[in-house]
Amino acid sequence: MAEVIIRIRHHLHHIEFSQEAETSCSSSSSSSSSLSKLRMTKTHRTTPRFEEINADLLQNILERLPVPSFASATCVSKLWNRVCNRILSRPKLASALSLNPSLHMAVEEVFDKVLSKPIRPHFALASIGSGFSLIDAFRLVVWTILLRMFFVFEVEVIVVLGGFKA
Amino acid sequence: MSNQSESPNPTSSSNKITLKTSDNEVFEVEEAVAMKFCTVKQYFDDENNNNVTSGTSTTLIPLPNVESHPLAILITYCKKHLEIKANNADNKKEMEIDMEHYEREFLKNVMPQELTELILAANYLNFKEALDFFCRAVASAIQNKSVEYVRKFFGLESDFKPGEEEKLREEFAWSFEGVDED
Repeated sequence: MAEVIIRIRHHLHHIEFSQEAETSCSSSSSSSSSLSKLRMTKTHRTTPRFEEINADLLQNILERLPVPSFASATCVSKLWNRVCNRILSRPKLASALSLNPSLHMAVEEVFDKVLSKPIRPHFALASIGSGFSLIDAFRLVVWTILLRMFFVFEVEVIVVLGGFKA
Repeated sequence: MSNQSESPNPTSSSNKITLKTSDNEVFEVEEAVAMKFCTVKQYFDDENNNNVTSGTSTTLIPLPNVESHPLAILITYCKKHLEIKANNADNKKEMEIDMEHYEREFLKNVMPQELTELILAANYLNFKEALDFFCRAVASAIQNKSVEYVRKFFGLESDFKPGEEEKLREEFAWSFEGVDED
């Protein structure tokens, strides 16, 4: 029941449904998720427009786009264009720290983090916890760099390793 | 998953924190949930520090920039987030799978306009995981879409001067190949 009303509201979301929704909500079975219930009790409000999203938030969204979509995002509006240029022009630093007790997992995690965005950083700082053998850590890091960044030569990665075993 | 204020989780003995939204709705949430909202945590810590000597503490935290609708959704998301984390404490991969599954289901019930609202609320509350998730959701919604689709999606209008847009489009002509149908 609740689900059906959500669907209706999605199509006609500008029409006020709250009264009907509340009645049906109280009679609906406990099987409906609480999220659906919360949505039912919505009353008059002004939906904020996308313009309220400031440049920093927009940047957070746009820097996740793959390159072709990113390029077409530059043509959407002046603000979008400015934010895209900002993303491209700033030297990007990515950093990550993992204290995972497994060397393998720790290296995976920091690399996942610093290379998580489609537009790669110029410079990455990856730190892992202490207590690993220096030789093992070094080998693993070199391998990971070779595997992951075969085509990305311009990225410099510094891996910081804490307190080693001899 | 329990709703706010009604039927508190019986297994939990943690403290409750009360949040008051801009439209004067009051939400009672568990401390663990409220502490994910860094803005609330900051306020809460400050209050506690100020009240160390007197021993009293204000439990009502006003959130003048958040409406009840996005807050309710954020609380639900946060509870689920904590629940999934607790269920898979020793298995990160499993946790990610569960989380992805939940997030996919979550997005089926959210309108684009609501995403905007949720991003603003998550940003104000400084709830990083949710903000990342919503920004990711918006990014994947506009991925491979035409410029017109993106504008319509967000209700934006081109504010370029005549000629400017054409020039840009020419420059990035390669990026318009193979976009999805609107």
